[in-house]
Amino acid sequence: MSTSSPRSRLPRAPRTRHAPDTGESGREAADSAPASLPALVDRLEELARRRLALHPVSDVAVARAERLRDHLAGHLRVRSRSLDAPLLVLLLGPTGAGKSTLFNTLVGRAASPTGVLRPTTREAVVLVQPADREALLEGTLAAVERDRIRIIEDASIERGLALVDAPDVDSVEHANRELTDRLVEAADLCLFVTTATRYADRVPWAVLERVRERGLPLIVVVNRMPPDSADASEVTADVVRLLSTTGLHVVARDAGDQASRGAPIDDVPLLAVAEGDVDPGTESLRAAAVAPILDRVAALRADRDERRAIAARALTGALAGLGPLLDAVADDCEHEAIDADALRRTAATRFESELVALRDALGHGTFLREEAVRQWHDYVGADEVTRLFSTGIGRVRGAIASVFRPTEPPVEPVRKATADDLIGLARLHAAEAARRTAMAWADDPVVAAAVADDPTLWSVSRGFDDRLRVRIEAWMASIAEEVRTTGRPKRQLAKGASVGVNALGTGVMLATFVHTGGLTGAELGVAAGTAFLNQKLLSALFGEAAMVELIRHARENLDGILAATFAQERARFDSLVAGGEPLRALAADVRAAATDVRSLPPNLPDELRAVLVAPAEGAASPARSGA
Amino acid sequence: MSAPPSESARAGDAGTQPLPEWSEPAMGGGILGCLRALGEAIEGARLLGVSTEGAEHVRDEARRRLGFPSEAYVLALVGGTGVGKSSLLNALAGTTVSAASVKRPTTGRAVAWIPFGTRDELHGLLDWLGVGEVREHGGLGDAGSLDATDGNRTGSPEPEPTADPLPTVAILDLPDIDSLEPSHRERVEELLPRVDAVAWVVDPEKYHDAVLHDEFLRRWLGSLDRQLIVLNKLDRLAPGDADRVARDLRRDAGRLSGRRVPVPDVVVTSAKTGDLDAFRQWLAAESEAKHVVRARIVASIRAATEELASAAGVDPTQGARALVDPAARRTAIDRATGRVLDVIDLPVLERQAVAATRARARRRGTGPLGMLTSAVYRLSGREARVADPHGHLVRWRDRGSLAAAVAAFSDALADPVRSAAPETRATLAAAVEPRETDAALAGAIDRVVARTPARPPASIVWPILGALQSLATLVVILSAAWIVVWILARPAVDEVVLPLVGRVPVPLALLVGALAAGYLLARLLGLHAGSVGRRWARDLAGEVRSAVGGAVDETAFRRLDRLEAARREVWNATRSIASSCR
Repeated sequence: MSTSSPRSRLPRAPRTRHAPDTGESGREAADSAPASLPALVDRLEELARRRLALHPVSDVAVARAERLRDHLAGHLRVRSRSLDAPLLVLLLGPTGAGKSTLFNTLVGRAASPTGVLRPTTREAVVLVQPADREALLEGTLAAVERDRIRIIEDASIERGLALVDAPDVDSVEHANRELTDRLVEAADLCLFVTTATRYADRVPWAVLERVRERGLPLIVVVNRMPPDSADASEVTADVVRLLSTTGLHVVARDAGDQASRGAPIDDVPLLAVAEGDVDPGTESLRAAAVAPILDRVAALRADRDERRAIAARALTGALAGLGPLLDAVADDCEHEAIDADALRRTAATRFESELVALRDALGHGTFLREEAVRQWHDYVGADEVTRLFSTGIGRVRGAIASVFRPTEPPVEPVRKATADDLIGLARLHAAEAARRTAMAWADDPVVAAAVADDPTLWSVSRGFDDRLRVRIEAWMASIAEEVRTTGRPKRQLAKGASVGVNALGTGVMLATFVHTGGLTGAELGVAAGTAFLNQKLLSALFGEAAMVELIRHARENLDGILAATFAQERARFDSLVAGGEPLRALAADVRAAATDVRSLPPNLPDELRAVLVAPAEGAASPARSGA
Repeated sequence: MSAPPSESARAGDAGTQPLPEWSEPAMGGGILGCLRALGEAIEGARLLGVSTEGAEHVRDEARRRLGFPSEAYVLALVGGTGVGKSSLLNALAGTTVSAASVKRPTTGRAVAWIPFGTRDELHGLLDWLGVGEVREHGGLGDAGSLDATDGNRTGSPEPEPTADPLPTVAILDLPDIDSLEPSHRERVEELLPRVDAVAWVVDPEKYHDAVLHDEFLRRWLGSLDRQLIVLNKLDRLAPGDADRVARDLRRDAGRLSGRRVPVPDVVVTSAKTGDLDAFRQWLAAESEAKHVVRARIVASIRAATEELASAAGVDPTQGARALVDPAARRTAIDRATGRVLDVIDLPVLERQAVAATRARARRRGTGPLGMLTSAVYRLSGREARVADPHGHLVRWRDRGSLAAAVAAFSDALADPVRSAAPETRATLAAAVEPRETDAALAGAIDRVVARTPARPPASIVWPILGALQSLATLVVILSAAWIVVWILARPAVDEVVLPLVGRVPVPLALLVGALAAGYLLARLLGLHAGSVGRRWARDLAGEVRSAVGGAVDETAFRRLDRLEAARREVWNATRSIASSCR
């Protein structure tokens, strides 16, 4: 128990077998051994992209999806391909805990500014060997914005390890938290720096929770310990107790005590640093105060196998943590699918019931302004027109009238008035449907914010009238066209010709709204009278059956137009929530991927480690079996 | 240090009757008036669909606070775990009032440090605050303590009980706001609305924490009056650094406190070295308790009304503006009235009115034959069809729907809803609910119809014409009879001499003359009845038109008008609070 090696917390590598000049090829084979892993990571990255494209609803779901993306891009993508990519050692913790001071201590000079103004560090300060720079920026830190990284190159250190001073997790600078979250996803080893004041804070704790979830190797540093040794041990015990409640197995270390060999690898070492151990000249701590950490970093720098071991452990933890994360993402998708379906159903019900009400109102014809109906009444009641369906003297009178006092069918005014009234009524119902939907959605936490953001949702969309008018005019034209092409035998058309295709089309159009509906006579005023005359005219010209067919067809087309218009209005709502189907499909894919992640060879970590640490021997067989 | 005792004495005199001192005359500006205005703003905002829970809570808490004595105000120490709240209080007291510890989080329960000898007076207030652990300033230890002060490391009692340096302030040491223990933060959030003043305690490590800034300072600075930011652990900072940090804090406080309240000052202390002068000075300065209590309530009332006003989309700094501007409103009403009149169909109404007048005239002014024809007319049902203006009106529903009229209102509301404050949109959009508006309009039209006179007018001329017509008929009958008698019963022997008028026999002349007169009388009646009928028809149409206009005006925007009134209420209340509650 009293060896001087500080890095012996990990299983010792049979160091003698490792020779830099041998086994390169074997190691390459080993690195790519779990051949399915990079492919799996690619697949998962695609799933993460799909997830974000479907706009997660809650903040928690967004955070989870981004976490998955960042974790895949920052860590798994790199580590699944190579354990030799530069090891990322991350200094993490609340604002003012002394991360930068510790960083400077590790670097050996004032590389990261420290200070009293919080937050001190607003970007990730990265110490890297110049040769590792590209690998790091293209790999582990690829997902981090370049302007949030400050690179410090130091040619004097060995390759293979990058030290990162993260910004805080809990200050008013929320961008800091985002950056740090990304770094946590990318790291291979985490030095969590807190203080005797801070250690029970809720916010940093949440970050620590994530560190544990993703199985990131962790060292805890408690800074600014009270000078009194009894107090200090009380604090240490309390920190250990708190950390233990999260499932982390913490072992307190003394700065002087380096006897840590043989401890289980999942142990989290805890190091307490007393208040006032600061050397103001270099803005760093006294080296003795943090000797175990200095030694640890030095050892990692010096020994490639140590680095690979840590990397392998981080990868193992990451793979172990991936399943639950994927499950949670799939759960999010499924919940959102249920919510989305319910919301869309709400919208569909509202719009459908208003559409039914609209059709009902159209069927009664009472929406038409009297003026238009009267104009048509005057036309179809004129002698010239009635002669077409009357007999005897009426025909003669009509024939004479048609010579001396020809009647012009009021096609344009009636069409325009009908279109106006139809649009007005449709707008009323569409607006009501929108209002009811918006009201229901505004109460739903999932979409309340989106509804509040778009005040146009409370009524019809802009351009509603114009769009519907174009469609209705096309509809009217199509009726006239149908009258012309599918009308009736010649004799009837010859008669009809004097009335005109447009007038007949208008008659058919009106008949879709204004019909006798079993009532005859003029008791109900001009509308019923018009309907009566109009239908007599049409059936005289087309025959009863063809007239009914024409009217039915016109009616169907109009229904189609209105349904399409309402669907378009409803789509404004539907676009606010991702569809249930794609979400469910994604959830299924994510679950399948989670299963695949779990069915990676259960002994992969050991196997990997065995292979990696002793490449010459274990290269081929066990690794292949993992593929 | 001579002023506080006298203040306390004054407060003590007035304190025997807690409530009257808040009544309007005594309070000048009238805090009860402010509370009433807040109540009005709440009512208005509620009608507009704005959530008023927060404001109601402020009102209720303010009322409760006014029911308690105000010889001392309650100052809460609020901050994160480990910043030294308890140490600060202990340093201030010179004894252990609240247990401080190196373990985090420490204080889970609120502890009160109250002026000497006020335990009984403040009992109710502390009870309301839910504070069980109480110590008195420089008091005689735990003698007469309210509770057992379970196992706290209470220090030795202060020897001299006299000359209380802080006679008007009860200081509460609250739990932390940021630890793993969520109940601590909940307790603070529960107490913050009830305390009279706050000292926000920070330390060099934590002064920029998001929890403090985003979830506490941003939310509470504006609804507090007496408050201070205490930067503790000065001993941790180099001399120049303390000033830099304090400056940084001041800048933040200025940014977060908004335009209404004065920016809280920042003082630097060290509980460890006992350097508390700045804090002590602040505590001693202008701390008349009643004033502090009142100012706090006023600040929270102002903050609550401003919040309500902004949620309701009312800007008290601007003039009151209607949701739907008068021109758009007029246009909508005119459009809707037009569509209603279309459905009522005034031209047909007029025709029917004229026909009905004629029918009435015919009954009265056409003599016996006319009576016969009008009976036929009536019995055939034709009269009911074409000469029944009232029936025409009553059957308005058969002729059309009010959809177009409703659409006019719904359209008028579309833009106001778009520009309304989000919280009020649902209520505003519901102001013209189509089915309800349709029903209301229909009801109003029915009432107009029911009020419209049903009987056509009559004229004295008609019975006269009728009498003349009857006379003419009689003459026709008599002269016809005369002719018949003359022809059929011609005497065989003698010659009967017919009187002649010129060369025409008198009976014939009478017959022709009476017939002509009858015709003329009938024409005359027709002309007269026509003109009477047309005049009536015009009047009737005019009456219906204006009645419908009025009915539409008062019906359709009734709900909207209530909302407009509610907005005005919020606007008025906010303005009067802004101008007269300080």
